[in-house]
Amino acid sequence: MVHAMGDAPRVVSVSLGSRRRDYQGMLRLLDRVVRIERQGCDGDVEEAERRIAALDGNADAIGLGGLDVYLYIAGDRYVVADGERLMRAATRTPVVDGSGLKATLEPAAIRWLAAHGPFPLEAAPVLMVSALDRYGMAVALEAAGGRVVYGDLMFGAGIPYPITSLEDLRRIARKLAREITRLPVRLLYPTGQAQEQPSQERFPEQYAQADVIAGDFHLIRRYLPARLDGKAIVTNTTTRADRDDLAARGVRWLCTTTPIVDGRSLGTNALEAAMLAVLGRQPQTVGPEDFESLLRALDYRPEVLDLAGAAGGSG
Amino acid sequence: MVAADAMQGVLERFAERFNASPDLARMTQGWDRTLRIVALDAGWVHGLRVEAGRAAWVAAPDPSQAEIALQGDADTLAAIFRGELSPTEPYLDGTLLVRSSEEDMMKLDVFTLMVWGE
Repeated sequence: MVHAMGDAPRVVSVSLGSRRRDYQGMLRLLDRVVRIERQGCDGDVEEAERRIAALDGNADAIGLGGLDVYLYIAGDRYVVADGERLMRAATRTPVVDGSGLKATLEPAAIRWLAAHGPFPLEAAPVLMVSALDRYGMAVALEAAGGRVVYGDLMFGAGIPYPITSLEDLRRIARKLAREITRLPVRLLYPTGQAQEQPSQERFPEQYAQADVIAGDFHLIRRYLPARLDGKAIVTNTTTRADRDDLAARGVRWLCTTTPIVDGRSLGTNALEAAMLAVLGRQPQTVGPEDFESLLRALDYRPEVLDLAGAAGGSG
Repeated sequence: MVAADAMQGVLERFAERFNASPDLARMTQGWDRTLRIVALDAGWVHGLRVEAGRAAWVAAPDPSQAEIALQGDADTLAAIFRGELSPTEPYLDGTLLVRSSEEDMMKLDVFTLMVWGE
């Protein structure tokens, strides 16, 4: 519920995802309250472009969800063509895709889980459904001692090739990323109605072998097997319905890297936009050290939910 | 314009390079497909068969036997299989027409980049 708060910055996350996942609410960051809302565009890139243009100058910051604009992999930056086009739709209000914050936030979440989490990461078999969009998390999981399988080729393209090391991930990224990011986003990632379709098992043995499943929630959800007994999921953008679904499949722990607003964990883009609005700064002036100090000031930790016994309920 | 016999050589060299890659042998397991490659300007038709992780040139396959069809001008098609041009660019600008499932198109893009990428 949005309250009338005259001086509260307004942040809007424009997403290529389903509008059924829209929310609005308030987020407290340090001593400020931010009005935050999501506007899904059901996979329609032109509609997202129109929304961003309409919000330009009418919001304090805009998040861009449902796709990554920038992929940072081992010091290289790759630009998703559709995303870059959307970024250009606003000229006054800053637009961020979450990748700036993600590189700081997600490693911090993994370090916290390694030190304080309710399940072990050291020596744990981990399935990371995609790592090209979360390279920082991938590095942090390996640093925490996880035995990580990266599913970018399996879940992104249906290719039966589990990537089993960061070195192999980097090698494959060097060959593929520059060209693949030029493809239309609908080929790269579930957007719009694809986010609402029932899960269809794909490479279920990879889910079965993992104790921890990490990465983008829409990719995780799209290929979920029927049972995930006792497993932990590390992700974000989950709703109450997602939590119920995971609990019904037997998931024990749900860890979200972003705070929960109106019952769902924020997209990283929305959180990064909220941080920029609070800082009152342009994206190009904010670096990892700024996010790190903000996370320290917030005493940041991921949300950890024990779903045991939650099946059929709504948290 | 690349002639029919030159294109056969291009595809045979592509297949050699494909078959030298242990990655591609693994990645294409279970992906047995015939590509029908049509040069609209030169009038030739060639084929490429991927089976059991190996690729081979084949003479013009019947359209009913090909799961994937690529159509374009001879020079563009040759440039793709020589590794001089990623399939993405001509696909996006309409110079290359691909008829296949979206998933097969994505896989073909990945496999071509794995042969030549970087």
